[in-house]
Amino acid sequence: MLKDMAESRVKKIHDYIREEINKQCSKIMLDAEEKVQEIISEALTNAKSLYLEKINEIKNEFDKIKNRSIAEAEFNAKQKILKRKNDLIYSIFDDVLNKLKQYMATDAYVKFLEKSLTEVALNVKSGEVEVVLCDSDTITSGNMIKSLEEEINHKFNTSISFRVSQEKIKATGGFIARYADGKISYDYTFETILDKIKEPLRPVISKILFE
Amino acid sequence: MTTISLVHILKNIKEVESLLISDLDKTNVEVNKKIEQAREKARKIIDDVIQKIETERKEIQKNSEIEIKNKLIEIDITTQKILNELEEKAKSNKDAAINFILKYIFGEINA
Repeated sequence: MLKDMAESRVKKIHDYIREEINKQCSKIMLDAEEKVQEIISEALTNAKSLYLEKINEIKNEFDKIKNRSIAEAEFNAKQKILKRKNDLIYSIFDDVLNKLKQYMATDAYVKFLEKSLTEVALNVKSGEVEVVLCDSDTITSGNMIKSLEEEINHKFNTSISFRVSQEKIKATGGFIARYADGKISYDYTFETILDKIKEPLRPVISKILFE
Repeated sequence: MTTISLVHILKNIKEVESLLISDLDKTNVEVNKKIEQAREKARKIIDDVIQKIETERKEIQKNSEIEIKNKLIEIDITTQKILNELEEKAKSNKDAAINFILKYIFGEINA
């Protein structure tokens, strides 16, 4: 009888503890499930942020490369166009130099001499100026220069004496005027004139050529 | 209560204790396993996303290279077109430009 009672009590204790333990185990399992969800959820969140961050970085990186490459290509293209424009403009000056050869025996050349010598006279005012002609000049003579001298002195009230030098310069046309024992000289050769006007005339020539 | 009964009760309690400890151990083992599996899954999620990023990086790079190549071709074509137009214009306006410079040199015009 006593044994039965004892067994019954033990069973009750056993059942109670078993139930409590089951509850505990269930709770542990539920906590574990929560923890599992938490781990997965955190991983998914991290993965999403990592993905967005990295993809954004990669897109920016390749956008930069693309923009740099395009900017560089556009810059090179502009340089190429500019260089070609300049080449075409400067080639016109070469053509002009060739064309000027045809003017050596014309009235236009005489007018050019007159205009240029006048500029020299107005700068110098008085004294002897040595005029060195170019080797290609076959028409300008001492008499012609003297005649221009008289005309200029009369017209501009100067007292210049032009003396044609025996020396010749190698040029397509024009002359060099020397004053004060060669200390001052004025270069009116076509080559020098073209060199001097190249830059100032560049915008005008560009406009004529390309517009 | 007899000695035999007490011994019996104690024996039962001991059995219950063993069973309970065993249940808790099993639960803990299972919990650890689940958490380890979850961590493994989390690592896989991150590994997969890294792999996905790498794949997309290659795709973005490829598309970017194609885009650059096409743009460079476009720039080249446009540049060539402009150069051709410049050549054409220069050719047809060449005489006007030469005459302008000649007139300038001979003092017929001022720029």
